[in-house]
Amino acid sequence: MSDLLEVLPDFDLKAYIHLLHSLEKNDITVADLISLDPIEIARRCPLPAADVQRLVLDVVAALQEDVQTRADKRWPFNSRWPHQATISIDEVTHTACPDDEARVSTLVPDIDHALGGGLVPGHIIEVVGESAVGKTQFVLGMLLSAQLPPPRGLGKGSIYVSTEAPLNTARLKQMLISHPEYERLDPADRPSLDYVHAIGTNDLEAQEHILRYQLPVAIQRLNIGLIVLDSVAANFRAEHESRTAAGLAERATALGKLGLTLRRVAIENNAVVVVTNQVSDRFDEVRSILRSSSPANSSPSMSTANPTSTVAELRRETQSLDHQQRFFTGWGDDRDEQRNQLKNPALGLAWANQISARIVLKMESERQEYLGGNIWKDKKKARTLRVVFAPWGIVSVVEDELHGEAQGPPDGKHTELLDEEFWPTDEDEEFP
Amino acid sequence: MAVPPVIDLTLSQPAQARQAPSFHRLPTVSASEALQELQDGNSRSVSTGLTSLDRLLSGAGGTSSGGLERGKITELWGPAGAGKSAIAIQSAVNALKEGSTVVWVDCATALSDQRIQEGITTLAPKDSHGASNGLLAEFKHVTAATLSHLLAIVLYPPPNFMPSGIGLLVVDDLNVLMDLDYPRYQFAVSSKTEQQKWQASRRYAVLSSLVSGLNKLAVIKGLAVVVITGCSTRMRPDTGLGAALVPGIGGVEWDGGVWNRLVVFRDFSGRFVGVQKCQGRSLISREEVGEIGRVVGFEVADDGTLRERQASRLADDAAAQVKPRASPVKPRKRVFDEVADSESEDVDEYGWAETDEDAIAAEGLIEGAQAATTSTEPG
Repeated sequence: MSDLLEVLPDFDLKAYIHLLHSLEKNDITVADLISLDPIEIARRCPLPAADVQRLVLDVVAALQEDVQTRADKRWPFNSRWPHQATISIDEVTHTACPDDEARVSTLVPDIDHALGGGLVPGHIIEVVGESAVGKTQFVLGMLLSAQLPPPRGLGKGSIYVSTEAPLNTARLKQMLISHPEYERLDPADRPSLDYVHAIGTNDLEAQEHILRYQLPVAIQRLNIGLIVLDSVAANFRAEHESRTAAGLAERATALGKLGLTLRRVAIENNAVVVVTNQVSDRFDEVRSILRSSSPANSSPSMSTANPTSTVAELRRETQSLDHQQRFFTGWGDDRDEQRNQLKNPALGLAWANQISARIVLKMESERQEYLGGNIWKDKKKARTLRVVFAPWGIVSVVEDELHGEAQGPPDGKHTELLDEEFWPTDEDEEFP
Repeated sequence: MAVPPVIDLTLSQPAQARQAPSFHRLPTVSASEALQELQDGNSRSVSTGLTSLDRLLSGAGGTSSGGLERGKITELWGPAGAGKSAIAIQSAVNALKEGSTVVWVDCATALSDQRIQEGITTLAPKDSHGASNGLLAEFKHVTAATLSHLLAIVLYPPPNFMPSGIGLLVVDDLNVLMDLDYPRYQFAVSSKTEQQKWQASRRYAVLSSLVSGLNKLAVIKGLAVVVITGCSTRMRPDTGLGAALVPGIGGVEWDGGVWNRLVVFRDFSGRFVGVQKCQGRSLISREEVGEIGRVVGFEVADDGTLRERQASRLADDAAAQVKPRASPVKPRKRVFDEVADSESEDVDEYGWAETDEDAIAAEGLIEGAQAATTSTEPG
């Protein structure tokens, strides 16, 4: 019952203290308490059945009350139970739908359009890409745009939680000075570095403590609307093993808890949580069916190479992880993409289940231009941004090609945020 | 004659009975009323928005009206971004259009209100603005913060939790909530104490209670239940194929309690939804992990409505796709009859029998010597 504090922080336990020790000793969680027959609980940890019964009913009532309160807080125009009040049409039309309110613009017009206006509060959004592709750059822009007044921003401050390199304030200042979005605002309305807060965390334990205990307090006190965690994979890779099954299972549990913490922060404070993630290479194995294997070895299903079994196998293959991950990782759903360029976001399916949306930044491989004689010139790398999935709208694939060269006056498609001056250079201490 | 739905009463929890006796009283209907209802053509199911899918779900016999049947649970699973929520939203809008109420329970990712509104404005009759808002008021959106919260409202439904006109209940992202409280692999596989074994079995026991509770709600209130889950992976070492995606929620009791199971996934040619189980019968065998069943292709428009695509391109695409090939099946390391059983060994490996002929002749002299010469002479 130790999780009762987390599930129902306000539950009054005075009448049931004598039950707690025994329940705890037998590892009865709150979910066990509700789903098991009270008689069985009473038998398992020797306790008076009537008391357990009463505890169950009280806990259930408290949980139902909790669900009701949360629903009321978020959607005030919902019909309330238990009183089946009829809602007048006026009441409904006057209440603004929460989604009409602010979103955080990414300052990239195509991505904003793909997201329906920007990032929605109450969700975890992942920004994933290879190293030095510009993830940090991209989220730094959001630290400022969150301060813009609605609907482009939230009108609130932002927090940057870093696990690798500290916040690059020089770059932020540069952005503030030269970005066209901010240039045309009055100095009084412009975002300011005063409202960007940063904290660094180097290990998983500190990270957990900061996110669970210090972050909610800071959000309330400093009126924060956007939290950036850069990056989520760094501490996990250092401390969790990913090669044994037991290690993976442990990591999956830890990721689940992290996801829950971040979701709670996002929902309860109506904030946007942006998380950056690293990638690992994807190995698309060339596997071969051993058709010519000796009769003793081949199992009946593989012995004959008739067309129907091939089709059946191909149908089965559509559900294989290798194939399906082309469509939810952001790499691989374009047939032209070369096999050696495919990447996987780190931390696997366990983390992918926790996020609401994923934005992928990709870099083309290096190209060289032949200039004549013996001279090759490195062509500027093209970077693309894409929304892989998002819960607030089905996104047809929208790619925004980011050109490296400075474009001069923005032509409406590419903002100068993506100007090459702002790209990370070697002087920056970005994690390679 | 109308056949009343089969009701499962196996799980009766004494606690519940004590708490709310009215909950267990089944709605009694006289035969003439039942016949009247049948003749009125009251819809017994909620349409998914894709006619082929509705038809596939009605099964071979065509006895039911297809779509998401009331009184039953339909499971929608698939990877992120495949289109599960899109189908569920479409079904919710269809239910609202019919005049039913919809309850949507968020377990992890919050449903975007905008999507529901868009769905209503596009599909609802184009009268006044007020009518759409009236429909929106019939859509009840609730969040279950933990598994305990979800269990509290499903196993012990509060009185008036579901108004009488309810047609559809959607539970979104159930696997995230389950994995938090009862992770799949809790302990190291090797030694487990009695207590740990009990804890490991709790996941499936809770899933069993949950599916029974949902079925009971579905039958008694006459509503269709949709459970949306994500994926996890399962290795397929026997066939030599790689890992496959499987539903995040499994187990014998859960699978048994689900009436329809649909897999939603994407492929190069677009989105697909496959029917893996319908009318309570599984269309794929248990061993064929990764089999998708009959498929319907669909696409989602910008405003959220679903449209069918000429499906079954999946098979045609097979030729165009990179052909995945399985890695070689590893032969068994030990063939059963390889283990030498000296009783039946035909070949005398070391030739002892030959050299020991003198010894054998003398054997009879030794008391107690067993003359069981097990190796026969080489032929």
